[in-house]
Amino acid sequence: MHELGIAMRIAEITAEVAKREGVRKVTEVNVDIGVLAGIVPDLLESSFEMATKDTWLEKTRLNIHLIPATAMCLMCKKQFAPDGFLTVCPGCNAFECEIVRGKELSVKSLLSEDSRE
Amino acid sequence: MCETCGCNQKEMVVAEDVLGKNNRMAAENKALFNSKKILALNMMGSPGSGKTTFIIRTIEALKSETDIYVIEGDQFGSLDSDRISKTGAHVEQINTGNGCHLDAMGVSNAVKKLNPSKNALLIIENVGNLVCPALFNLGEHQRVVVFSVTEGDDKPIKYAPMFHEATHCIINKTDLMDFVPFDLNAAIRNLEKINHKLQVFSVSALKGTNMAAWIDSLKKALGKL
Repeated sequence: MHELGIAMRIAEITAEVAKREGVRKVTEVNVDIGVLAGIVPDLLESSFEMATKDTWLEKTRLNIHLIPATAMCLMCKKQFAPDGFLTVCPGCNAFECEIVRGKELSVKSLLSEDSRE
Repeated sequence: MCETCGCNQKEMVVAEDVLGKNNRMAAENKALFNSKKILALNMMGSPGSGKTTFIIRTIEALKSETDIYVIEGDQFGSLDSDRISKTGAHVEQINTGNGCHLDAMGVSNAVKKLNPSKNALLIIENVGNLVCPALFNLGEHQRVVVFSVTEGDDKPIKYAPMFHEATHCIINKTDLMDFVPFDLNAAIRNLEKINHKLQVFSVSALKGTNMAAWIDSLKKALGKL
């Protein structure tokens, strides 16, 4: 259950960016999570609620954008959707494959309400 | 103000890796290890897979050739660091409390306390857990996952991220292979499906059998630094 630590880091990044940009209210945080990043989306959502409870980010919504996995065969260069981390090429049956997409774990953008208006 | 609809919302592009802070610290650790020609291993695996016994065997085989330092990660207590201290290796215990893995900052602090000498071997025993430690880079050169025959030959498939991120895999407790339904060939094939680059060693750390190939690979890696 490392999602709480990840959620706390997302809250920290949000605070850093908001401070830098002079923003007082962040309504939404958009995060990219690859399906092979080792994160359970539901757990990350509830962890984010826990991490931001009673803070200025309490009402901030976490939007999780799931990124599907892509693997590439190093032998025949075929790209395919792997079965989790099972990366056996469906074209030539080679084991020599690499995950090229699906391990993302990043804060993509923030949406803020400009409270100075 | 938003140019599309006139609302007072503003979108800010961030594009920051959530693990970036840990990865930057890990890079600092690795730079320090490289500058002192220290070989750093991150040992991971389930609780009870035999990591500590395997580390002790490794220390016994190499302590006459190089200085060895161990960072011991456990949720609570110092049982493992007490065992390792008896080999003469320098040990620093990290208790993570409710934390389920070590991170690069904790390792950095422990390294400062240990102050390892040049050309040393640094073994980091992660918290016993086949899931979370896979995500956190510590600055190691080798990621070693220890799994034992009593856990079953299907573990690489069931806990794929750990085996996918590892560089070396130790199949441990081979002395028990006659007593449990473990198919060594099936295990190796499962490992290949998850990670074709993985270097695999089958040993019994308790009996000290078949350790030579692993020890030789470490000697070679130490010589290359």
